[in-house]
Amino acid sequence: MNDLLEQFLVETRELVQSATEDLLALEASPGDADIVNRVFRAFHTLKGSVGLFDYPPWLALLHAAEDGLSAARAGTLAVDATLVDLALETLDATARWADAVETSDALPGAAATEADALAGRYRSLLSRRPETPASDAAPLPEWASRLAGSLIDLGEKPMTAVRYRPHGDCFFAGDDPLGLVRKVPGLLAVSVEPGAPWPLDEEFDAYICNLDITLLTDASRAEVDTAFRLVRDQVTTVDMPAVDARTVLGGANLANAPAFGSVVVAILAEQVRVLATAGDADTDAGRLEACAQAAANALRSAGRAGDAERCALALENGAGGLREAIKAILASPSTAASATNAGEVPEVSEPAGVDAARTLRVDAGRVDALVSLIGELIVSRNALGHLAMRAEAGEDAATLARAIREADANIGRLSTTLHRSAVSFRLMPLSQVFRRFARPVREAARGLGKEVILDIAGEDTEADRGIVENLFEPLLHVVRNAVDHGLEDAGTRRRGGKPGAGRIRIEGGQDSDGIVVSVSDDGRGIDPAFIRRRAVERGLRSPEAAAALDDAAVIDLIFAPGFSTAESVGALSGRGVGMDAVRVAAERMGGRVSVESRVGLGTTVRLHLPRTIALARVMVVGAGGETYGIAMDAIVEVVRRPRTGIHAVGGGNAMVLRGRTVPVVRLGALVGQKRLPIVDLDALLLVVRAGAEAVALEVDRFEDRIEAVLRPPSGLVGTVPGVAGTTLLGDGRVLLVLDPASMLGAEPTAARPPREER
Amino acid sequence: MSETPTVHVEPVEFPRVLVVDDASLVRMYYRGILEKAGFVVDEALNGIEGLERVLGTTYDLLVVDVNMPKMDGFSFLRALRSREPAVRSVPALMTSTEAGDSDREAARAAGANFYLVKPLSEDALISHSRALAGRRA
Amino acid sequence: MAVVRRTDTGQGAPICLEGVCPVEDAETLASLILEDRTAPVDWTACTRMHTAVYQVLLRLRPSVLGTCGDPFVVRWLARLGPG
Repeated sequence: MNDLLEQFLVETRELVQSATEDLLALEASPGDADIVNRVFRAFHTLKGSVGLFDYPPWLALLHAAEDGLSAARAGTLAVDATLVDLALETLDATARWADAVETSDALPGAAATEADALAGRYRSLLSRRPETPASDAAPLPEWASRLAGSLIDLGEKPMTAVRYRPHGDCFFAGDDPLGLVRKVPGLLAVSVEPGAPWPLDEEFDAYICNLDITLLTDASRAEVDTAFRLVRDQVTTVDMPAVDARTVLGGANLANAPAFGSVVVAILAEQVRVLATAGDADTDAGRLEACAQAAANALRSAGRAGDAERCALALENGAGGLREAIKAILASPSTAASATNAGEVPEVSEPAGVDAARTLRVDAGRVDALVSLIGELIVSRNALGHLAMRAEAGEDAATLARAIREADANIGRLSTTLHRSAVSFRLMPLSQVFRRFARPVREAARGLGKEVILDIAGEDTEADRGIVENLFEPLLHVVRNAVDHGLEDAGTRRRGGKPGAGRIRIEGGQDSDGIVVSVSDDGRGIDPAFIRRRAVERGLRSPEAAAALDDAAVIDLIFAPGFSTAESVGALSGRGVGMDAVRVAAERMGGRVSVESRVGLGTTVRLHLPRTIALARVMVVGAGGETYGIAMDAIVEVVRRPRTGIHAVGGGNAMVLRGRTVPVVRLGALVGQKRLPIVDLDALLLVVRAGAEAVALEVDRFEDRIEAVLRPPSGLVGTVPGVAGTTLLGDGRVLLVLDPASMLGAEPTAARPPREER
Repeated sequence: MSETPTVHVEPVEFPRVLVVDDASLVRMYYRGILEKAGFVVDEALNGIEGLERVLGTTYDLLVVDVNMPKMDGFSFLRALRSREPAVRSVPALMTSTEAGDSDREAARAAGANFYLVKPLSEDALISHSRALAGRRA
Repeated sequence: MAVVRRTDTGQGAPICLEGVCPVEDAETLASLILEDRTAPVDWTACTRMHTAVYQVLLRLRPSVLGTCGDPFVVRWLARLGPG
């Protein structure tokens, strides 16, 4: 099952549950507007979710239910037992269908009938409204709205939209699909696009039809049906309601428009409409600029940089000017048709096949290695089948167990290697993120009246896509801080004997086990005395503790939560978000952050990050009835001790291990389990690091050791301290991986240098 | 192209998109599609969060739901379009389950640059997002 | 045959579509375009184009010379697909 479907089922059940509770509460207090609103939202969300999948009856039912609840929310429909019952029945059906989808990937056979009946009951509740056939109520399919969008204004007359997807072999049957389209009366727009992505040039077969033809006509449905009667099975027809007054762009039809796709045409046409729509005066400038930006972007996406520039320039002439410019671009004759007449070179189109789909640059050698590894994996898998046969044949258990263990070890080795080689595919240069800084730095500097020179170095350094893509925000924060607080204004700099323009350098590089991204400035530097004072003021450290810290440790305090070095929170560095956000971002990526600063000379902030997202080794342990993971990195050693060696000391327990007294804590107690009677004479202990000291965690069982990619904690789990992440167990259960150090109240262990892939 | 030993694509700057939608499943669906299409995706749960994000980050595109608690998509766009020049010009793709004209009109008045009716197909989302963000179709 | 290529003028010489271009012309047109990707297609003399022929232009996207002689194509299909 894919992630989306899985998430859908989880959410659907939650929504059914909460909406059911709300509906039952509503029976007790029918007038409660808050509850009605909550129920409405639940149905609204359910409908939206179901709409992501292809279950038309389900969607139609939820659509009807949403209409009913929307009327109830608006007060036009009484919230009575009839409505509540109907809504409960709908939720019941929804729950059953979710189960059916989970087990069989499809709705039960009777779902359509049931949906119809329930939806009919909603409609009769809303009897004020005439009952309308479902096709009218359903939103227009996307292709039809897109086509309609390509007209500047829709007609007063109702229209018919047709989608004709000829069979691949239709040419052999003697069909000329466009020949049929020629016969359709009242054409308003025609679009011909590939039905499926084109094959490569060499495989292109001119006699296989791969077209998706859509058209819009003001002819009646009957006329349309006549034209396509012989290919009825290949045609979808949709009635389009009449809207607005039609002026098809001064008579020039868009099909005659320049050589770019219907999406671009539709977007351009929409900007004309947006500009013609009155809005709040406050928003006029923003709307105008956004329309210019959208139109220019759309044109740029079609390779029409010149026209994009035209839109940008037209901004000066206000909404009217921009509107005329877009219309002119839309109405200009096809570039293809006009270009050579004027002796111009037609614009070079993108080479076919290199579309903008997400592609990675991958060394051929890496691919070969991967393929051969997969080959080995298949061989190993076949060995498993062989083993199953031996087991069936009654071979003795010990021999089999040994063989299985061998096969397991083999597959384990292969999958680790496979992971490593797949990880290497994901490497991406830092230049992807570095090059985005020119503009924010310029804007930030300009906003403060400072001069800044931005240097970028080491942009070829590679790291995992997940790291590179998440780097922008924390880096932006550091960079803005440097512009905002680090650099002095030009006058101050000159008085201090520095050039007027400040310098900010963003640099990437390798270090022993990962990458380092640093942001340096040649500004005023961080004054430790100031930080000490501030830390004390903020209650982050006692005066004594602050005085005892050395200067480097003091400067590190800028990353403490609740610390902000700015005298006033600057407009640029954001609203009260301090450098602690940078620390958190780095740690989420499995890295850490450090700072080095010299008063008067400048500051360097370094993000130390893993180059790849590593496989974590995890010990799977049991505590009470639950299973938890503990990162092996945190475990110093595993010991089994007779209970008699554990003594009550102060408020807790401790034992002596290699001459040191080590506190003993039950894992079950840490995770808030009730204390169970102890039955074993021996205690199983994981000695873990918690800050500078060692602590022995007592667990009930050792279950397994696994290697896994840890997902960072998110959602509710993310708010629980002590959770390092989650991963899946072999049986599909989610395993919470604990970070013992932070559970025990010490500094998070994430500050350790991350390891390379293992 | 096929004879070269590497799978080649020009390095591109990844466009950044902010998805403002209260339904987590919808966000997940959009994220999946948009990331595959080369976007860096951020999320916000409503207009208020959306504004916070937009003021702090430079986006190439916003994908905005209409019906959201706390601050709906229209109010969000109106608030955004009346901000300072650096942030108010980001193109916005509005999505809604309402196919009716009144919402389309309201979207235009609020300054949405395109309006698509949910559910969106993968193609529709990608093609419109690419074009609005100025990326090659 | 309504697809003609005057080869005497060498590399880059236009491929001409003439008169009614039936389904059979599709393959010829495709191979001529693939032979020389620099050759433009002159469609001014084409009076009626079969879907298959149009599909070749849509797929292979040669540069085209002048305005198509088939009024249906001019009115509705002159833009060759997304791009």
